[in-house]
Amino acid sequence: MKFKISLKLVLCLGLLFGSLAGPLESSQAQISRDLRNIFQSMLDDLDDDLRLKFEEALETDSSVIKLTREQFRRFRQSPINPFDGLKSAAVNQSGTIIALKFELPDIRNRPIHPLERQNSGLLASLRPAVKNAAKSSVVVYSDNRSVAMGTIFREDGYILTKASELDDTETIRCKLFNSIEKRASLVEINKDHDLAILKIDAKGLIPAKWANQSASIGNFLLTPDPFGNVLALGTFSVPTRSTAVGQQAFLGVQPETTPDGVRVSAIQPGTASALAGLQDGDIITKLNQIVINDASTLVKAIRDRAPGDKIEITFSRNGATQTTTATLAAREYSGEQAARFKMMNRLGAVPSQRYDNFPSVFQHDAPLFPEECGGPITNLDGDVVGINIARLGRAASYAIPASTIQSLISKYEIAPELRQLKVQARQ
Amino acid sequence: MSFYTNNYLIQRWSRIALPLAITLALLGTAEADGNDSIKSLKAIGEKVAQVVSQNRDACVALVDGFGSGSGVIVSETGLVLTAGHVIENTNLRSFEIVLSSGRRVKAKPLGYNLNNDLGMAQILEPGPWPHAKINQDSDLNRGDWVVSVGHSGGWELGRDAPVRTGRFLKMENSQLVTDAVLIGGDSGGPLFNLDGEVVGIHSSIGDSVSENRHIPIELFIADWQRLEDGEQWGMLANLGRSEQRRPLIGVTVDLTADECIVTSVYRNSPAQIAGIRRGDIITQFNNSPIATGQQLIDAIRKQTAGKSYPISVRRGGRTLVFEITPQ
Repeated sequence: MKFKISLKLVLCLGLLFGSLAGPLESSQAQISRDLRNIFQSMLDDLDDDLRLKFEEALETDSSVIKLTREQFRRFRQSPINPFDGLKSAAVNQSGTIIALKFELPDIRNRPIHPLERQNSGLLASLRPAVKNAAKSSVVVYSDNRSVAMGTIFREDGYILTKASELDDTETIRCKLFNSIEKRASLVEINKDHDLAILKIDAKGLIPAKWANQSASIGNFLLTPDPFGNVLALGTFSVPTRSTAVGQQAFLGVQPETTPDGVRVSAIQPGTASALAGLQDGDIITKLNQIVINDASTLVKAIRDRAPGDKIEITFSRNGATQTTTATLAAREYSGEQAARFKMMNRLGAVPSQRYDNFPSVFQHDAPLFPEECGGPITNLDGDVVGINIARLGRAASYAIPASTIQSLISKYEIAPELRQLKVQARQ
Repeated sequence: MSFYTNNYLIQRWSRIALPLAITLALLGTAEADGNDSIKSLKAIGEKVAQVVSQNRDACVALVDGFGSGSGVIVSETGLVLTAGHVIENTNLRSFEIVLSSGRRVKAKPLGYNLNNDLGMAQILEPGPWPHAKINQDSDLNRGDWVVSVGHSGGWELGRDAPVRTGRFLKMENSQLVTDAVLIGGDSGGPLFNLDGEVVGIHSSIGDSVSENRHIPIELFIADWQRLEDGEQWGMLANLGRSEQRRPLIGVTVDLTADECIVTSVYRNSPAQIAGIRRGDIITQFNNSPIATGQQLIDAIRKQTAGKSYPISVRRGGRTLVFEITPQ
């Protein structure tokens, strides 16, 4: 029950019915930006031989990949195989080489059913809600390509945006609500959160009005562009959490809330919990000095640490209280499952170049494109509840909550000039 | 084909026609005025929050150590609805249900009907279990808002099943199609109406974010007793690409070979029932010679599902002739 069988069938048929009899394609179609991203994201999951083929295609800017029958067989079996993007397959005269031509369906300009949540009528009717927030939003250009959105957080031209979409060798410009374009300089990058701070030469801008209350399940969320349009409507899906898988600390227990504390089970040999001597049925009551009343407190207490950290665990077993020390491990996922998920994630969506390893994000389901991340996301009152930071894929987008943003930019609360003066005064 | 023309569908469509016209008229006026639209969306959001808080404990993950699917508890005694393909793929020895609290309980698979992707399981520990109501009246109309819950990407420690919303767009191949986005791991999870009743179970997806397919709850109601009795039948269909369901025999063939070699045979498929095995070389279908896999695909596509045809295969040195009924 790894994933959907039915989906597998759907995808397989795409290939079965592809024409294998046609002549070999002579003209080599250019590779689109989205397809380029897909090819790039596949590289890690292909074997050396196949990876070379895709690297070659990226280098020569070709969307046609020629494989021998043996390579084709291996490619078909690979979980990362992007059947959704396969346009045609052609065999040469002698039947030894199969040319696969990839082309993505046009998901940016797909027709939207009038009943869909994203229908233009509904989105247009929501414009009044984002009237003010839109003015805190900018479009960020790297050279002449729009690569991201940005969020104004100070009236004198300080703007937050998504760092990994910027190319630091290129000129950055921001387009404001009044269509005026300004050159921007890069002030600072926070790699963990994938945020960049830009500065434009301006006065009297409208900074984001941060919401007092964080968004919650059931809230509809709006992503405005600077010109007052609602780009996408989404629903709050998952409360704020860390998605930093590689750096996520892992104890290796299955927690369950009980009146006495958190009962743990499913302890696997070799995991941090087993090495610390925990057993199925133990009830954890404290981690270091933190009292553990429910499963989510336990999860959070562990998430707040890094792999390699030592924690003291107080637990009861058969009524007797004991303590032990565990060394937290890093969490890992199996390769094939991850690869298959990556493939499904691209159905109908273009994931951001960086879509994981965020320390603090909430999840929503607005269908954003990578270049629509970096700007404000609001509730229906028009208050900014966060900054869109990534499109994970088909079913999810991430936003950094306003509270996290506010603490990250707290040092910008005083204008840098004033700070400078203070330092001088002290000297 | 009975799949399309059964009574259930005809009744359903005739019920839909009128309410749809009214709904569209209402939407038209509501969306003309922004403030009304924002207000009504807020009201919908409040209902969504209510649907989730009412049913959170009934939404579960099914895990077997290899992967996970989703499901929903629908009775005090611990009956769980899920997708047929989730149950069919479950490792029967160590199959567990993870509740929202993080508690894991042993469960056993009951029946499945792969024709409609229906599946049922039973929690083995005594209840009473928190459970969701199912919609008995089949009163979901096109354009109605729906709430989707499921463990996208598999069960994840510290993350409740993500909540998504969308609207019921159409019926296709007797499944509900919505724009409440699904992905692997969601299979088997519940689709709720705004009254918090289960109206569908997540089944499959297509290329676009507006192609999310859910099994209508009525199909579960129709097969309820057989599923509860543990009966397992049917085969998975091509649920995606086409409006018209093409006849299938349930094999995969090697398209790169110079012969029509069967590389796999699906369980309970017409091919398996006929006696075809992996490794067989298909030489004739309906008295016409078959030289490649593509020729077989083309030949089957021209036929009618439900009719029987002769099919010849070479196995070892022998030629065998079977009777096959594409579905």
